[in-house]
Amino acid sequence: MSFREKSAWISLVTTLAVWGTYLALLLQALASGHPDGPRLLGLFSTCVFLVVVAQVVLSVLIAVSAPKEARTPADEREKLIGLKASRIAFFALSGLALLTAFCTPFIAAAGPVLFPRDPLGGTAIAVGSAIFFAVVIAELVRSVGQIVYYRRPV
Amino acid sequence: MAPPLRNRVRALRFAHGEMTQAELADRIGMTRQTVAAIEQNKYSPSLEAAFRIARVFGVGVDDVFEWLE
Repeated sequence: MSFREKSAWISLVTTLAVWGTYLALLLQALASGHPDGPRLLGLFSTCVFLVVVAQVVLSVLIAVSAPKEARTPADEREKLIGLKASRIAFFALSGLALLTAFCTPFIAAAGPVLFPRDPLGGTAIAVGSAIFFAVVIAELVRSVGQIVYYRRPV
Repeated sequence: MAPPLRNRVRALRFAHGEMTQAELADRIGMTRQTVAAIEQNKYSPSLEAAFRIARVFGVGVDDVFEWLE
């Protein structure tokens, strides 16, 4: 497995682990009907820190295990794989952004029922989180795309 | 779908002192995995890379890559 394929795996696993956990906690908070904004912001900041640290540490570990590969710039096939995976991720992000925009009025309309204590705050958290998870899913699509392209004809 | 191309990179490596994929990769500025992908016809290299490969073996591009149609 090449250095950059390992990097794609690191991105996939850390993103799934950290943001998957965050999503579970976020959904719990939203389902409770009174999401605590400051608490969620703290959790979000912790997750950003964790995902950055995990990716840096794991990247350093694979670079140490194969220093020559890590120093070598991406070759034409690796660049092509990166571009193709990013293209698919862009379509995923565009689709999810459109879906979020489409759903926003419905979330806003349901706000008073879903979040009776603070309809505006709850709706803002739900819509903001949907936008953020569109980015997370696009990143997952990019990593999976890279891994698939590394294993099949490009 | 794989392109209608055939290449003799593997045969040429063996004919040149059993050169490894890693050695060839170093000489053409690619990763070993990309050389393996070229040999397995999973990746068609750019024209520049094709010339680099041919020059390593001291042959023409036509001696390395063949269009099958």
